[in-house]
Amino acid sequence: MSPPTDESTARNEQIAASKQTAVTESPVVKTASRTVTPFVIAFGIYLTLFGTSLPGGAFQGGVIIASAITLIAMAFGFGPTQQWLSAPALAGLFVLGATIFGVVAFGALAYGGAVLELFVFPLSVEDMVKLIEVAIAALVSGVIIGLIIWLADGFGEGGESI
Amino acid sequence: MIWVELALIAFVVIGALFAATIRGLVGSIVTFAGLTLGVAIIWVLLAAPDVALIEAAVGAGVTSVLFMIAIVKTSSSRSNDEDHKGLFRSLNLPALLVVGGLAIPLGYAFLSLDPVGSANAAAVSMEFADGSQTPYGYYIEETLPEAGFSNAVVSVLVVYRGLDTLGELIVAFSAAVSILIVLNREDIL
Repeated sequence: MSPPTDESTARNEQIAASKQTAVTESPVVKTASRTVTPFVIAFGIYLTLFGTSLPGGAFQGGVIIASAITLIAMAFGFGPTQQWLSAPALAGLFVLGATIFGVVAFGALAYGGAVLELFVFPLSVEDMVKLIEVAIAALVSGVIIGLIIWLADGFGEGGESI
Repeated sequence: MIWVELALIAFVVIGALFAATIRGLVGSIVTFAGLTLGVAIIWVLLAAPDVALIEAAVGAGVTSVLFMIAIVKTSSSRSNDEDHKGLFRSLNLPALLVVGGLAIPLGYAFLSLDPVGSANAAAVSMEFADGSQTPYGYYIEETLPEAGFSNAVVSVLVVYRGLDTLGELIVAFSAAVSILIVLNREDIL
């Protein structure tokens, strides 16, 4: 270990400064995103559940839920958000979505239909579509939140966090 | 109304030129996010609110954040590009020729599309030229009586083309799984 030279100290200070500016420390942004997020998530759920009769749908709803969490991550920093959202719960979200979709898709075989034939279930087609929409929204939001937060923070081990 | 659309198209085209030529990647990303919002409003004016929601959320929101993460993760604190003065970067002539060679045929193809709302447009026509029934006409006509709800986009995605949607979700799922494998954290699954 050689003693730090002026050059390396200056470089470390530069890195520390760039780390500090990467995360917004603005109370305005924090308060605004904290206030807006519940409404954005509610809008995403609304789009998912009412996509059968109104413009919208599961992909839109899931992406909007994910963008609300992205807003939180941009305002409060990716590292704290990654610690706040438990990774197994996030993985469980998209595994749950995939499982529901798979069970519905192949459950049609048990009722004597083809794969994904929704007309053979005892529930109405609209209810089955809503079930699948919830599954798609869970999968899409889980995948996008995971992509952004895990890519940005890398689980806080090795590499620098944003 | 046509002036609103023309103004939006001008905004999108000028924004695209700025995003391609402005110096500094962060400026490019911010310009790109702004022009994507313009594209989303154009989708609303073209009566495609489903696409507009996706465009605004993915194009302007999530993609910009992903680009930002990529830049912060990969670039050094000062890239060579930003050392030079001036608002715009110099253009790469071969790249310009390739992009122009792609854009001109696309623009020409755009001219052959049916007008918005036309009853004979290919996307809503009931019959092919030889008199056989088209699938798109079937989806639009049968969504309400057969599936029992009114949003034809969702009925095509889930009821009639469910296998395609299942394939899309498998792609998304494998993206998330491969991120976990790359980060060496597949143990949480």
